[in-house]
Amino acid sequence: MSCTQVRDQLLDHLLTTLPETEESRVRRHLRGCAACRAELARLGEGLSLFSQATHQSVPPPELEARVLAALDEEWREATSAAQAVPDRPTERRRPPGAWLVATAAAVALVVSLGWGVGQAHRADRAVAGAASYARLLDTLGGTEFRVGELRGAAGHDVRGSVLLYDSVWDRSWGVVFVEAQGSSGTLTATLTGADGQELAFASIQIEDGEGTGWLVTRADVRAFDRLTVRDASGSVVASAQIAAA
Amino acid sequence: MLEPGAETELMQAYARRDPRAARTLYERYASRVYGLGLVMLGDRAAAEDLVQDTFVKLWRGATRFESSRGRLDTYVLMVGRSLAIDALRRRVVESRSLERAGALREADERPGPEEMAMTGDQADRARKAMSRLSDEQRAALELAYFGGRTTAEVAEIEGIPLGTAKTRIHAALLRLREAMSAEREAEP
Repeated sequence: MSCTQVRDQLLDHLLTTLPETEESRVRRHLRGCAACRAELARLGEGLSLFSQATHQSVPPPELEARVLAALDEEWREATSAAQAVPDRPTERRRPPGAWLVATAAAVALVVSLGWGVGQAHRADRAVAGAASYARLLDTLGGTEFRVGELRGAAGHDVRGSVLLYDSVWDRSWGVVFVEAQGSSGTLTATLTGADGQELAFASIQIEDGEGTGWLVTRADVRAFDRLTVRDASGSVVASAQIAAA
Repeated sequence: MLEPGAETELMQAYARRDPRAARTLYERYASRVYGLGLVMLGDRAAAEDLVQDTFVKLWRGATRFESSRGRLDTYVLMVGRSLAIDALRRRVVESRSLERAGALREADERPGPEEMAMTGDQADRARKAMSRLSDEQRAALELAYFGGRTTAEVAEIEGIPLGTAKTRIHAALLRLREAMSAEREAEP
């Protein structure tokens, strides 16, 4: 997306009226463009002044105590929910679709950590992301994220990473990113538990050497600790050991 | 306004349930969210609810705030505005139900002029800056901001080309900023 295109959408971005797909593209551009961020800051300052001019009014003094009490209650409820995690409550209180929000947030986190979470040169970024990770889990109400580095089997130039998220509230899910240079076609990815139980990801279509597979399930994914990726003939091309992030 | 890094730290502390961060946020932004509720929802009780809902929603999404994407005050305001628009939509549905049931409207709870009065030197200066906007610029900005309209919808409602609508809002925001800078420089 060019600066000209972004500038054309900056007002709607500021006013939060952009459709989600456009919003994502604008945000992506803003992350890497200081000039457009500066323009956004100028517009934001104008909007802030507009709000001060048109609607600034002293709330009643008792409102502060009421708001802080509501927050305190919210925090206590969140704490209670977090403590209930080991029991995997059957009543899931979050609305359907919450897993999708969780997925989007976590994928953003994983992408920010980069390919191959085990790689030493990315360790610093992973550590820096740890605080964000803890807050993310706390916000989502999940048990944990677990990751694994996908290593190619002998003779296969395949690598990548796998992420599993076990949710207390809603569906658990996993995502596997595969990089298979010079390859194309369909791969399958299967999770295996200690007891031999298996869960299959959606098939992975490799295009331009890359592909992604998803798994969304109501099953408890905590018992699964190994991922195997196979080609169309059933041969193992890569595998990963999965551990806590 | 806080430095961007300080704004991020404040929101991170809020995400960690730091009561001092909650109070700081309240002190900084409650008056504008409350005023937004008075303007958009038209009564004190709804405005108070809006403040409470806004701060709870802000906490739930506190980890998502990134100062590199914009100022904290506009972020807070957009959260409040979104909730106000949701409340207005619910109100439309409820009023239709009441009309169908033949219910009487409750006594008017709209705030009096003294309650709508703005506070503080900054607000006074902002109001002066507002006087520098043309009627067209102000109308477009108000429609987009209070009406929750896209720039395309503003263009349609005002009967003007999309580019003109964008130019009016854009120019209004920058003019406010310039006018405020001029006000600050003019101070002894």
